[in-house]
Amino acid sequence: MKVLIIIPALNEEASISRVIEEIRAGVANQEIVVVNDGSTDGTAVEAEHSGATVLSHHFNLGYGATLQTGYKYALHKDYDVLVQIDADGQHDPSYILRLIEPVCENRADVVIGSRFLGEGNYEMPFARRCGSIIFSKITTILTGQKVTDPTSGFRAISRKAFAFCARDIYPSDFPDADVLIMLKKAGFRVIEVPVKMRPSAGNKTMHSGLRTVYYVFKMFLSIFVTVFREIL
Amino acid sequence: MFSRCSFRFLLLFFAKYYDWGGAIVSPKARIFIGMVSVLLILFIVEMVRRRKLREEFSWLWLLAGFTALVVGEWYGLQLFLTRISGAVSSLSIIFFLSITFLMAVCIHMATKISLLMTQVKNLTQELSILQNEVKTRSASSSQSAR
Repeated sequence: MKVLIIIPALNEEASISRVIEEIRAGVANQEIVVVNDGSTDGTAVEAEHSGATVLSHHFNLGYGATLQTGYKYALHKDYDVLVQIDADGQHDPSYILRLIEPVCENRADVVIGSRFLGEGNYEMPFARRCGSIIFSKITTILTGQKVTDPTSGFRAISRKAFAFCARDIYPSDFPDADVLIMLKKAGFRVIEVPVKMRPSAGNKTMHSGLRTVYYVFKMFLSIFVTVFREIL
Repeated sequence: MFSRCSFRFLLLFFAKYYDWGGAIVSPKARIFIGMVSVLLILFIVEMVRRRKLREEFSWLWLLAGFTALVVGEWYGLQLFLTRISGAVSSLSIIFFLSITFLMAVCIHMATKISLLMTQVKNLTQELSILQNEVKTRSASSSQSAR
């Protein structure tokens, strides 16, 4: 099976090379694509020097759109399985094989690397942990299966599922619990596997200040409309 | 029985001499509203003619111009709208219609912007993939040329 590894990146020149090297050490011979979402630093250059394929947006489109570029590339290049991993070094690439295994064995369409299934002791700030618990409960209720970490960006996805996510229904920003609910509604099999998450090297986060307020608002609205939306 | 003409005269009489507390749009204001509406309609048509405004965006503004013209000039309609809405002044109806219209324009523009953002996103994604494709092909062709 052809496996593609995508790394969405925004201003990650400090960590991108290390992440690529770690992935290469764990899973050699797989194409690694860095989707550079309009970085203003040397992310693209660093990634290219490390031997990754670089797809660059001319301006910032958002995390969801960046992942979607990777999905479209995977479709274009006819890949069977896709793994998405963050560029800040928080995700441990040694878990990639554990993630892709259920997809390769056709046991799942989406495999989420969960921080809260007993592997390691990942510490989250209190407010974020509260938000994560609330969205995990909502996702669990609406999908009818236990989801412990709906915000994890460490995932393996089957071709059928990433072809679905390459459509315009996929959100441009914060594709978290709402996407999982949408995928379950569309009939995809979602499972979680335990992974260890490292603390972020820098203090960069997608959720800070007013963006957190927007994130909570957007997620509630998106979940609400997803429940009532017809998924074709 | 009042004839249609005498009813109109009575309304105009009340409009002119009865103190409605600003409830009735004065003739001067009606002339002003009429002129502004006609100018708006002409301006929109001219913008479309010069291709500075697309037809698909002009219809809402033309509708606004015609609505302002009709509501501003048709006194009976003003009274009717004031009565059925329970408003005290016909001016408040005009303000209400204006605000409603502006909200409609904002929603219309927001839907268009949403569509454009999706299109821009898709184009940017396609562009990044194609640029990579071109780069890969030119690299491989220069290698085979050596």
